[in-house]
Amino acid sequence: MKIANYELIFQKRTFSITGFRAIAYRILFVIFGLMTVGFIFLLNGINPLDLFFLSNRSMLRIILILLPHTFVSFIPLLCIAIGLAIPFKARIDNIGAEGQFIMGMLAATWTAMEFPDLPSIVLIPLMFLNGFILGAIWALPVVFFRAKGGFQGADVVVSFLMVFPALYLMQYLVSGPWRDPATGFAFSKILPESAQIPGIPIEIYVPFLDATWNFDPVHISIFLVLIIALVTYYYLFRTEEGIPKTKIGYEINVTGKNPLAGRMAGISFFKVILISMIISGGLAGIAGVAEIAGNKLRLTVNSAGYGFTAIVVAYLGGLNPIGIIFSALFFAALISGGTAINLTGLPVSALDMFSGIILFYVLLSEFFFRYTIKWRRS
Amino acid sequence: METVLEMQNVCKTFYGDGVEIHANDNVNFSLKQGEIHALLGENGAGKSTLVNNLFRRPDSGTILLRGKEVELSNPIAALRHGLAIARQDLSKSLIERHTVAENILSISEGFFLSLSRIEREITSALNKYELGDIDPKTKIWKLSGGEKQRVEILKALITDPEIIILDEPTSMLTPPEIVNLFRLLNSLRSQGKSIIIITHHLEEAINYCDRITVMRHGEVVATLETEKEKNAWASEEEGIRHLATLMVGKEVLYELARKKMEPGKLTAEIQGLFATNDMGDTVVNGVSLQLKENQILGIAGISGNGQQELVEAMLHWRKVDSGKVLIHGKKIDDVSIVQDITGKSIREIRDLGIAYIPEDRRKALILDLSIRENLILNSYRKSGGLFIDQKSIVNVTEELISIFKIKTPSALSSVRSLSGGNRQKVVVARETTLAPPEGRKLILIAENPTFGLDVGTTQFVREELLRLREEGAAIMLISSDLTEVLALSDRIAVMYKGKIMGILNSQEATREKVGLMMGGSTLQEAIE
Repeated sequence: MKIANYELIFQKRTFSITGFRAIAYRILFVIFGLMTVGFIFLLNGINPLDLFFLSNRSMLRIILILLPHTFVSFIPLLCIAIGLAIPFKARIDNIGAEGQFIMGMLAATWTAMEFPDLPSIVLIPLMFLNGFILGAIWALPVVFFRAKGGFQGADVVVSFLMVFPALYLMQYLVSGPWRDPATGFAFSKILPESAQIPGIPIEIYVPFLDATWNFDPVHISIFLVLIIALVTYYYLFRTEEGIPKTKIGYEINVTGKNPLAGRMAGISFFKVILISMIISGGLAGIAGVAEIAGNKLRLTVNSAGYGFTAIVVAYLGGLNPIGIIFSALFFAALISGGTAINLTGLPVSALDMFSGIILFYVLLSEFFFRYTIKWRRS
Repeated sequence: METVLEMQNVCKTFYGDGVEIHANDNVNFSLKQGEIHALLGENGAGKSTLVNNLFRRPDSGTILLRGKEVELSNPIAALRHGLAIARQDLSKSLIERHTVAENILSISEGFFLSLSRIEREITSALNKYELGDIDPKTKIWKLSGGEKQRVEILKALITDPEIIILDEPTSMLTPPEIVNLFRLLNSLRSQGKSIIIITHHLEEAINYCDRITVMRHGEVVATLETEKEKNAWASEEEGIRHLATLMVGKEVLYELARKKMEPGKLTAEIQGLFATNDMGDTVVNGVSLQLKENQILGIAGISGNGQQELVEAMLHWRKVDSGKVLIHGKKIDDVSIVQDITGKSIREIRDLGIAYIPEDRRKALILDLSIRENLILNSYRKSGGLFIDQKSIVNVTEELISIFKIKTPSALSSVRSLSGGNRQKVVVARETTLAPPEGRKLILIAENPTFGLDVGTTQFVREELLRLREEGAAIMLISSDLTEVLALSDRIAVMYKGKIMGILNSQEATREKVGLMMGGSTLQEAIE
């Protein structure tokens, strides 16, 4: 690329950046992102330092006060992002986790309404199972169009388009057949008690914030999700002497880096994408079940958009479950910190801008992980 | 005669995955007024790159037109200076969904364009140049290969340029059409036009061209005056031989100790195989071959004569139109069986003990993964169940790195960090240690396994092939390097236009005979 008298040269890195340097790079780029956001706030007459850290209503303080709230958003974000990291690693772009997430919510609601008399110990696992299955089914078209069709970008297009049928199906069900006649709104009935996932009954008074942390809204699915993260990490991502534990883990690596060589060695592209998309869709479905049965307790016409945010979470976490735990926490905190932005009087969409800009910088850092840039006078 | 075009010290380098390919390395070339100048060389010698430098800026070097330095930074600039080209790759040069007239419209200048005027001009030009009947309103994809090529030639001639460049214009023409084309070029020459023609066909160069420039590895090897040379050559054959030697080059080889060995059992057999290339032309034309244990079967031929498609069809990478690939051998219970592997999945085929060293390294290596992960690409699934046997893999890969002397600080470094030679060693290490099922010997298909390697690694790879042969492997060596084929093979099959022209024993195979057959002579003709 040429700019005036200079030539820009992009060169692929021969050595990949790993370990602490990789973490440091990502944090650095998040800071760049925060600075850019801060600059935009400054243009709107708001001191970003006050907004972020210093004032009594700063994001940092609000995040700390709303810590339990952060954990509530952390659960679906983590679960979906772990699921996304697997196809992303195989270079399958599943950007439609939102649809799979919604299908999980529908599966949970349907199961709970259909079998309200089952004891919790049976009903809740059944809801999770159905959520996994429906979420996975919603991801299957991606597999067939990407593996059997001729269009390389089918994964992006198909997975994204599959969001809308899910969304409209939910809106139809909520405002039609499943509508709760007791309210005037488009809500479904509240789930029967047997279908509700219990919270963690802990209250802590935090003196330096002068606030009480009430962990009751944090449902115990958080343990399930953390276990899923660790199991996925152990079997698919962790390497011992450079080798993953399972064959499918290795095949995902190979397919992601060079599908041609993989095919030549007899690795079935179809099998890899099938397995990774089933896990991905299934985990998004599980997140949907947890969200409905643990947090919202009833369907509404809106989904929370976790499916899209989780894409950023997965990338910021370096497509590694351990990293994703931290990046999910970061984004969950941003969501609760968003309240602080509302208090400044800026529109709600300022929060979307916030995560959009962070995403931009995260993707930019991915680019720098792969390339170096040099200037040369031409 | 006046020199119309001169290229001085032209360099063009392509940057691949960590490698630099010097496609043109300080090339000097001149074209005189009213001559037909042939540009010869193997695939990848830099011929097309050289002429393409007239339509884009080369990395360095000067281009003189009639003694004046010019900068031809894009095709339009070249056109304005009176240069026109018929390109080799028609799928890139012609727009398939457009008509003949619309394709030619793309090189016409002016603000108001009249399609009907261009159609009239095309018809009259076709008559003038005797390029046959082509309706300017036909879509390109409806035309045959030969017709497309004639449209491309017409595209070069229609602007009435002073300098005409034809990049492999005869590859899809029938012999009478070729005669016609050269008659046309002759008449253009007598009008004072200058012509550069790139070709693989040596006899075309000898019979029709005034001067011949031979290129190899991005450099000009020689420029010959055909008339002068013709006096020195006893016959046309000798001329072809001379040019072939210049093209291929005689590399200084270390002595390869090829032990005498009796051929072993028949292990694989290809029967009457037909396959098409991506464009739908039949390029593997009824090939039958036999692979035996303790034997290297060399496939000689100028690249692009169907060798690649043959291998791809064998490995089920490409659809087999008809014919069979059979694997002979016994199962553990000692019963002789023949398995038809046509249409089986790549995994099933590879699990029969068929190793493959592709010419295209992208098919063999995952650059961003570690050396260890690349080395286990075949063996990782040997252990049963879902898990990889990590411990044994660590030992095996460390061993391979030391046996094959892969120079790296660690097995965990990415393959991208290795030099070209060491990268190829990774492939050779992995493929030659592929474990065939019990009771079977390895079958190795090696496609130009030393292409682009330094002398040391080349020698290493060749010795490795010979060692495998002694261990009982059946090896199919496809190489456009005649020296390599002659030095290593027990039997040599020569491929030309998708057909096997004949199979020679190593004793009877000489450079001359094989060279003639590579140019299309049958075995009978070559012996005479």
